[in-house]
Amino acid sequence: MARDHELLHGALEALILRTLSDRSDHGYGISRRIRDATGGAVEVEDGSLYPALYRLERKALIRGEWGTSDARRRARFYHLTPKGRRRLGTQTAQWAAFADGVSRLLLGRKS
Amino acid sequence: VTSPRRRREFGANLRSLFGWRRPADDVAEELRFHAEMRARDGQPQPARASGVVAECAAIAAGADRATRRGQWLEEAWHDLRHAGRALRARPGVALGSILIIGLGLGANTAIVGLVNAVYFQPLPIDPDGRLVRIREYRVGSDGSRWQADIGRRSFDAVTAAPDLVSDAVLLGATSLNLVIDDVAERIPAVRTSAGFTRVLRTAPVLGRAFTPDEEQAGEDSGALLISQRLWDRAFGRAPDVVGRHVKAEARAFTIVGVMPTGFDFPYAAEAWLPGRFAPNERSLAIFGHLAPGLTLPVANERFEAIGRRLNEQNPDNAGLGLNAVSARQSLVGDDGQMAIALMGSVAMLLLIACANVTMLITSRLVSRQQEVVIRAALGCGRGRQVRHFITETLLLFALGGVAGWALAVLLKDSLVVLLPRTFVDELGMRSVPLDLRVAAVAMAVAMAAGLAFGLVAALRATRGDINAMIKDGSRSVTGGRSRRTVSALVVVEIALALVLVAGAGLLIQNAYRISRRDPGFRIDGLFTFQLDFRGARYAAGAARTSLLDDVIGRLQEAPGVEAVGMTTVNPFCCGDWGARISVEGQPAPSPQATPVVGHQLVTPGWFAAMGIALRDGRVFTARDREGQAPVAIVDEGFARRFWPGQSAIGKRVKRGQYDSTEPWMTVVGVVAPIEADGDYPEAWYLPYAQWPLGPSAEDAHLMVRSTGNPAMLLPAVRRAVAEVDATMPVFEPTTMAQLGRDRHAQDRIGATVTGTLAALGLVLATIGVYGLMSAAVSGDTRNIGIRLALGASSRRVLGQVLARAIRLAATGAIVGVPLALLAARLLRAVITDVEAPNLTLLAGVTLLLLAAAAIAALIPARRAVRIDPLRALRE
Repeated sequence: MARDHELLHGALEALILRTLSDRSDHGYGISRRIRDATGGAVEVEDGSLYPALYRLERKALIRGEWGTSDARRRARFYHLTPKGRRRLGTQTAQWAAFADGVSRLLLGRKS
Repeated sequence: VTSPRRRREFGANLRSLFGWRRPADDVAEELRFHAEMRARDGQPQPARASGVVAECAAIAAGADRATRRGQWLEEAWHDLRHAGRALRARPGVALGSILIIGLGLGANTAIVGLVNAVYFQPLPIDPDGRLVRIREYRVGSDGSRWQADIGRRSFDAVTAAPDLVSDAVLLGATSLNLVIDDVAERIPAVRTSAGFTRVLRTAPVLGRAFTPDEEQAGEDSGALLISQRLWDRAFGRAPDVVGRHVKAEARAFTIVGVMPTGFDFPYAAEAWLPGRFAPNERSLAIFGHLAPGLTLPVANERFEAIGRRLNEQNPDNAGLGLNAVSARQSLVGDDGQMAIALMGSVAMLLLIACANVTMLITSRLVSRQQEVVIRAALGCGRGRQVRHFITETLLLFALGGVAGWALAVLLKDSLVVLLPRTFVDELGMRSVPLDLRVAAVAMAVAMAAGLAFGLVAALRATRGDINAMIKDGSRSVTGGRSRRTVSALVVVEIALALVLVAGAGLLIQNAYRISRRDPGFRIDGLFTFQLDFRGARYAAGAARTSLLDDVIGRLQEAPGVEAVGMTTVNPFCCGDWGARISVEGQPAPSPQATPVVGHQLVTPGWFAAMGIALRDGRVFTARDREGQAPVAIVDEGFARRFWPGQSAIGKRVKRGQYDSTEPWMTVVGVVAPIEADGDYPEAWYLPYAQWPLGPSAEDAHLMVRSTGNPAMLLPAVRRAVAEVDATMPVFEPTTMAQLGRDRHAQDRIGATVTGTLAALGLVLATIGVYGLMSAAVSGDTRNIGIRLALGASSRRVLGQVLARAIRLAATGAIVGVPLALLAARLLRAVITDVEAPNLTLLAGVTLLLLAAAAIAALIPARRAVRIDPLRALRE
C-alpha cells in the first residue's frame, strides 16, 4: 500500500480496529495479520503502526496491557474497548460509502 | 461511564509525573520485541525509522498532557474574556452585583480583621503567646470567682519555681504628679520589678532600660522611662530628653529612656520607674512566661497548689486562690464579645448578598437560555458550560472582593471602637490591622462563595433537555424550575434578614435598656474630677482631709454649684474596690467565705451631691471624724443580706476577718443601691474623715452637682484647687453622664453596627422580593393578560401578586423565627446581659418583613395590572 499518510491514517486505524475485533494481539501480531488478511497487499511499517496504536489508545479505542507472548516474552497486548468496537462500526460504514463512491467514479459502475 | 478510564489516565499521568514510568521505555521495549519476533520468523529487518520511539512516547504522555493543559488554560482564558464581555454587556447588573458582593465581603473582611486582631494576631508584648497574667481570686458566697489584685508574696512564690514560670515581672500602678515647666500634671505610671522590658519583649527606642543597680535601688534610683505620648506632649520629641531631670512629688527623677510607640502597658502608663515592693504589698499585677513545654491547665494546677500553701502560711492570704490566664485573655476580658456577635451578623449579611447576586445571575442565565441552547447545539458539553458560568461568577466575586477590601480599609480606623479598651489604651492600637491572614480569609470567602453560588446558578441554567429547548424555541422551559430556585433563595433571604433584624433588635433593646436603667443616683448635672494623694506631701491623713475640706468649701461657694461631695471610688470609672467584711454575730464559717462588698470612702456631702436616696437612719456628718466612734452606711442589699426583716441601724460591722483587730463600726444609715463597676451585689460606705489612710484613700473623685451645664464648671474647679494647693493637679475632668456613656460604648456601638447590618440585610432581601416578583410578572404576562381579558378585576390581579409576595415572606418568617430564637441563644451565650427575645419583638420583626415584601411587590403588581390584554395575548 502506498505511503500516502493522508489516506492511510483513517484506513490504517480501521484496519487495526478490525484486526483487534477478532482477538487481542501485540504490535507484531497485528502487522502480520494485516499482511496475511490482505494477501500481502498491505504491509504496515513499524514507523506507522506504533504511532497509530498509541493514537488509538489515547482516543481510548484500544487498550494496551503488558502480558506474556507465546514465546514467553514480555509483550504489550492490545484489545478493543467498547468505544473502539463502536468506532469500528461507523468506520466500516464510512469506508463502504467512501469505497462505493470512489468505485462509482473510477469504474463508472452503477448500483 | 468514563470513570475507569479517567482513573487510569490519572494514574498514568501521576506515575509519569513522578518519573516512575517513562512511556519511551514502553515503546522501546515494544519495538525490541517486534524486531525479535521478526528475526524469529526469519523476516528481513527493515531500516529502523528514526524518531518512532519519541513520536509514540509523545503521543502516549507528554504531548497528550501538554495539549490538555494547554487546552484547559486556553479555555479558561477564553471563559475569562467571555465573562468580561458578558459583564460589560450588562454593566448595570454587573456593577450592582459587585457592589452588593462588595458590601457583604467588606463587612466580613472588616469583622474578620477585628476578630483576628482580638484573638489571633500576636500581641506586641507577647509574640510567642506564652505570657500569662497570674492572679489571686476569691470565691464568692454564690460560688462565683472574684478576681483580686495580687500580692508580692505570690510573686515571690511563683518566681521561686523557674520550671513553672521562666521569667516574670511584678507591676504596680501608681501615678506621678510630674512638674514640667512649673506646671503640675498627674500622669499614670507603673512601678516595675527587675527585667520588665525583657519580660514584656520591648526595649526603649531612645536611651536605655533600667540598670541592675537602679532596679536594686527601686524608687530611690530616680530613674524614669517615659512613653512616646509623654515625650511628644511634654518634651516636643526633643532628642536630648534622655538625661533630663524632672521633679515629681518633690523628688528628682532622671529620664533614662523613651519607650516605643504604642507601648503604654499596663494601665495606659506614661512613665515607668523601678519599684521596691514591700513583702506584704498588694494591688499589684504579675505577668510571666510559662516555662517551656507547660500548658496553661497544667500550670494552673501548680498555681493552685502554690496558692493553697500561701493560704496556710499567711493569714492575710486566707481565702485567696492563685491561677493564671493568658495575657491575651486578661487584656480582652469581656470586650471580645461584640466582635464574636458581629461575626454572625456579617456572615448572614454576606449570605443574603450572595443570594441576591445569585438571583441576579440566575435571572440573567434564564434570559440567556438562547445562548446556552446555541452553545449546546454547537457541541459545547454541560461541564464546559457550567465552567463558563462559574468563571463569570468568580470574576464577579473577585471584583466584589476587591470592592470589599476597599470598604474594609475605609472602615478599619472607625472599627477601633470595637476593640477591647486595653488594646487601644495599653497596646496603642489605633486601627484594626488588615494583615495577610485577613486578606487570605477574605479571598477564600469570596472564592468559596463565588464557586458555591456560581455552581448553583450554572447548574440551574444548563439543566434540562437541550433538545426540548431547541424544539420549543421557548424561553420558559426552565423558567418554572428556575423560578422555584429563585423563590427558595428569596425565602432564605427573608429568613436570614429576620434573624439579622431580630438579633439587632435584641442588641438595640439591650442598649436601650442599659441607657434607661436607673443607676440609683442622678447622673445629669454631675461634674467629676480626680485628685491624687500619693506622695510625701499628702502622706498624712490630716493633710488630705484639710485639703478636701478647703476645696469642697470653696466649690460650694462657686456660682452654679448645688452640692459637692467626694468618694474614693467612682462608681462609673477607674476600677472598682471590694472589701472583705465581717458582721457582728455572724462569723463566716471559713476564711474563704468572708463576704466581699463594694467599698467606698465618702465625705458627708457625697450622698446629697449624687442624689442617692436615704432609706433609714442618717448620712455622715462633719462629726464623723478620726477619734469619734467609727460608723458605716450600708446599702439596702447589704441590709437585706445580713439583717433580713430587721433594721440595720445600730448593728455592727468590721473590715477583714471576724477575729481581726479592726474596730467594730456602727451602722448609722441605709441608702438606696446604686449601679457601679465591679457589680458587687452589696456595698458599704465609710466616712473618709475616719479613714484618710484607709484602703482606696489615695484616690479622690470629687462630684460637683451643678444647676447648669456641668461641663462649664472646669475653670471654677481649677481655680478652687489651685487656691488651696497650686501644685495639686486636677485630672480627668468629665461629667458622670459622659462616663456613663463610655461604660456602655460597646453595647451602644454594637447595637448601632448590628442595626445597620440588619437594615442592609432587610433592604437586600426586599430587593430580592422585588426582583423575583418582577420576573414572575413579566414571565406571566400572557396569563395575566388572559385573566384580565376574561374579566378579572385589576384589584384581584393586584391582590394575587401581593399575596404571592406575602406568602413568600411568610414562608421565610416560618423558617426564620426558629433560626432567630437559636441565634438569640447564641447571642446570649456570648453577650451576658442580653435578654431573651420576646413575642413583641418577633412579631414586630415578622410584620416588618411582611410589609417590606408587600412594598417590594407593589411595583411589579401595578405593572401587572396595567398589562394590555390584547398585546399580552398577541405575544
